[in-house]
Amino acid sequence: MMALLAFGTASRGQIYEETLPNPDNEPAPVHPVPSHRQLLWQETEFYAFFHFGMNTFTNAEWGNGSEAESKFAPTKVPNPRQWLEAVKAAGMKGGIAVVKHHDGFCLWPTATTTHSIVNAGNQNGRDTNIPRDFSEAARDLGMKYGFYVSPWDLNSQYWGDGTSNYVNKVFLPQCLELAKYGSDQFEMWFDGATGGDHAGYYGGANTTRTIPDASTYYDIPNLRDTVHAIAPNCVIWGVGDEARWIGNEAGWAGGTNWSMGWGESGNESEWKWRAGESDAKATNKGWFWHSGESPKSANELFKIYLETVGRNATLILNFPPNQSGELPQADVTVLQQLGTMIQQRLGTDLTATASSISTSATRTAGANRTFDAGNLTDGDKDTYWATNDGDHTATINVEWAETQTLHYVMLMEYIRLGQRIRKFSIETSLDGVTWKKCATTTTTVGYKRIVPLNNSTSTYGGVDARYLRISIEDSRSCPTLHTLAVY
Amino acid sequence: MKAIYNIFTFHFSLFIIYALLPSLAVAQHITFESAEEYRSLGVYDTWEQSPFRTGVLKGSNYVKLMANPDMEEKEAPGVATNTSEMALALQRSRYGSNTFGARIDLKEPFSLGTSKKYVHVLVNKPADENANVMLIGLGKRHDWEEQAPETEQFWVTASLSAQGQWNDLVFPITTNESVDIHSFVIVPDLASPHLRTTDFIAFIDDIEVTDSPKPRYQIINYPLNFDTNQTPTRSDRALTKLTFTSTGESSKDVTVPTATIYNNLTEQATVFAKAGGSVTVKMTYKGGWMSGYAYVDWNNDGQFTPIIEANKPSSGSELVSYTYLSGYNSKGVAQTNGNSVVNGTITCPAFTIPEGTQPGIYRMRLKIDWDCADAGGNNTPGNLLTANGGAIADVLLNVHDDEVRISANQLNGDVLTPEDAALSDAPIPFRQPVTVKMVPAPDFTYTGIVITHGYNLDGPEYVRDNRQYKRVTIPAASFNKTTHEYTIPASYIDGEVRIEGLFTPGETFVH
Repeated sequence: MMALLAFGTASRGQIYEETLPNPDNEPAPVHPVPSHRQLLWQETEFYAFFHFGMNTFTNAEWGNGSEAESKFAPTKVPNPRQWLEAVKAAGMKGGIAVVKHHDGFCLWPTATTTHSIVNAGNQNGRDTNIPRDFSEAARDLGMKYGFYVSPWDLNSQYWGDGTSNYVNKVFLPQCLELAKYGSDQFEMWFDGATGGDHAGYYGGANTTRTIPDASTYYDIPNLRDTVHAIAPNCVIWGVGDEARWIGNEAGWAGGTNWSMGWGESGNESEWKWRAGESDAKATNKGWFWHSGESPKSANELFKIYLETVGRNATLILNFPPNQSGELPQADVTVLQQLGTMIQQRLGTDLTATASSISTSATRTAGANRTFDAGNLTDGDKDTYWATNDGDHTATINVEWAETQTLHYVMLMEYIRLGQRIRKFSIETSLDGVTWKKCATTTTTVGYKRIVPLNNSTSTYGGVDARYLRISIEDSRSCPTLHTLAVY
Repeated sequence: MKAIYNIFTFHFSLFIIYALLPSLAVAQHITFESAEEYRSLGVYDTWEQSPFRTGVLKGSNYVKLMANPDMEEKEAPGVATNTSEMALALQRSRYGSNTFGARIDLKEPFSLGTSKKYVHVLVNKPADENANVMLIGLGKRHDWEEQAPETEQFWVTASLSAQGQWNDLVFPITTNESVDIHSFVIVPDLASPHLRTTDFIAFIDDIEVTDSPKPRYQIINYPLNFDTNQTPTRSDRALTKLTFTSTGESSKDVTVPTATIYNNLTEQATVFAKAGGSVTVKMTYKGGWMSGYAYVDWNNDGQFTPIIEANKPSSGSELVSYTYLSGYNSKGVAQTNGNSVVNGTITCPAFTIPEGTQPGIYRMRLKIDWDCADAGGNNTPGNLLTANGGAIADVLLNVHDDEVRISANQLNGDVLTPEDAALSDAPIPFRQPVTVKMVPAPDFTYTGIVITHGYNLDGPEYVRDNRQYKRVTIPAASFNKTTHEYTIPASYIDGEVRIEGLFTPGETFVH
């Protein structure tokens, strides 16, 4: 591509005059925009969390680092393939396995500590290597994978001792050891817990320790750089600052949810792309397996799905393997039920049978790109509908030859050019004359927004209509959408 | 140590580790008067698809050393004086992202060690360009030989205090002790350029790394024309009390200490008012032949700027009320003289909080002086505030709506309403108590909550020396042991309210 150049005068406005050609007439990005790896991460949408480790055998949620390695004694060699097959049935695209929790016990043969499966209590434990087996299973199943490794280490004598020893001798080497299990990792999960009043073993010191600043102490900028050099599409969650915690562990994101900022709603004005991830438990006890636990119902999990994936967040849903290193059958069953429910409710896109899909405004086509309404339903995430610059409002109209029962509307922005839409509404009509507003306040869209037309994420109910009208009422710049689906 | 570092070299040839180098302690001061002060100049953009990264646009065309556009000595508060001949000019390209900036490669890299440092930068942008400025540090670990020295080590923002003039910005920075900083990037316009049709030039000058957080040149916030600790020169005159009456609020008394002429009471005294409401200030004053003045820093620029037209404050004036100025009070009513003390009280005319004033914290100044609009005090020889028995006190003004928002974020449990509803930016009445309930996750218990309340909760705690919010920890012992509920006092519901539940492993109660 050639830029058009001309030397200008050194005035207050210009040192240099230059115009960047735009033959395809693409809209200018609204910054911030996601990086390539953030885009790939967002497309994972729905994936599993597997909390397994020393706590599985001590009935704890947080150990204190003093647990004897011999307590880790699974009744079978843990089977990550079974975990991943089970969650794949629910439509999940990947998973993240805990390989070291705050107690410091490592589920792989690390060179950094003896507090690992190398000294487990039985042969099944000593044969355990979660990073190896989890990554291999994921590749076999065509799924994404990543690891949770706790920066806080209650076992290490070095953690919080006022020096860099823990980071240089333990934490960074551990992260690099884990990175070697695959350059195709999609996310590395760093828990934000940092000590406080929770007493730890700390190599026998048996005390409480804190650190002043996690980012500086763990040298997050250079850890991030290192991981990216080895695994270029691996997003560093939490303190890594490439994806944010959604602000609760109850499985919901804000109805307004910007991919910038913090917490459940984000912030339109923040300078950095930091999309939300919602971590939630699918079972009724802890993050780790506990005797007597049971999973939530498929309907409860579907509600969580709608309120996270359907609100511009990703969902990492926790299913804890038990002491045999497998997911309990009850979990496997509910995962199958959830997969069936998602397929039944969100599997048939009614725009495929629409008699017409039109928009009130369409951006002028470029040399090699159009922005027509047809791009909304062509199944191609790289084509999109847009309006001309300056047109920040528009309507999308869908019409069927016969009355349909509509349940959900799904919209996806072309976030490669930034998150733009601030507010929209959805209306239905039986005759094209009298319209009924279906959804309550609908604000942001982002990567994906699923709007229940009965205004309920808890109950499944439809609206009879022949006509559907989506009105974009406010946008930071011309709106861009790559997908519209109606279920 | 060698055995451990072999982990890196064995598995990852990209990073060859060698012995730790001592930290570099190189003084950093770049005035742009000599090319010897830096290694090279260019541009940088964090956006990976930036045309300046893909090579479509050439960054070196967008930076240039130019004559300083504004060498005048400045006396206006909030504005820095920069008399140097040359400055670095950056053309803010509309094709760069919100993090497009000038890159200055340092002559020698430097390490912060374990301490916090402060990067001082002079920045001058056109008057209508008021987006924040960002400093990005590029560098690498000195013990990772083959790591590129362009890893982004920190991002720090600062806001402008003077538009269209030189600003003396200060950026606090920290890194891991193993890190060397090789380059600075000054981002002049931390905003999306998608609506821009033209570029503009930002000037950058006098970059210095020091241990001091204080601006080097800029006149301080809310200046006085006398020493802050000045003691009274007269015993027959003293300001002892302020009484505020706002629409819809009960009267509020604030005691004013008399040991010094100036009292900063912003940590102790906040006046509440709503946009469109009126505020009246009475000053209890021992003495006579003095007048009262009230100021509000509506634009939060650290200054009180009077705008008096037709003998009264005009729109935007930050001198909002007075009993006497050049023969009139702030209602424009002619006054016989400036003796405003009646029965030991000076009553300033009521003033209105302008409609549309954003909810937030504003600095308010009350002054007893003689015929003077200067918020720093009469500085005219023969009528010095300090000699006349005048006084100045600063308080905060909280401009609020009828409702504020409350939210809760935490791990390993929930903080809910007593009815088990989530606190998700829910609207609640301003200055009314609110009850919350702790619901730990299974196998967890709670140790308390942290309540952050006020304004701009994601921003700095102080803006222009004005506290924006407070953070208070409520221990578990303060909760009802049966219901696990706690009622947040009305005084904490004074703006946005954010709750962080503190949960720790332990026996879960049955709720």
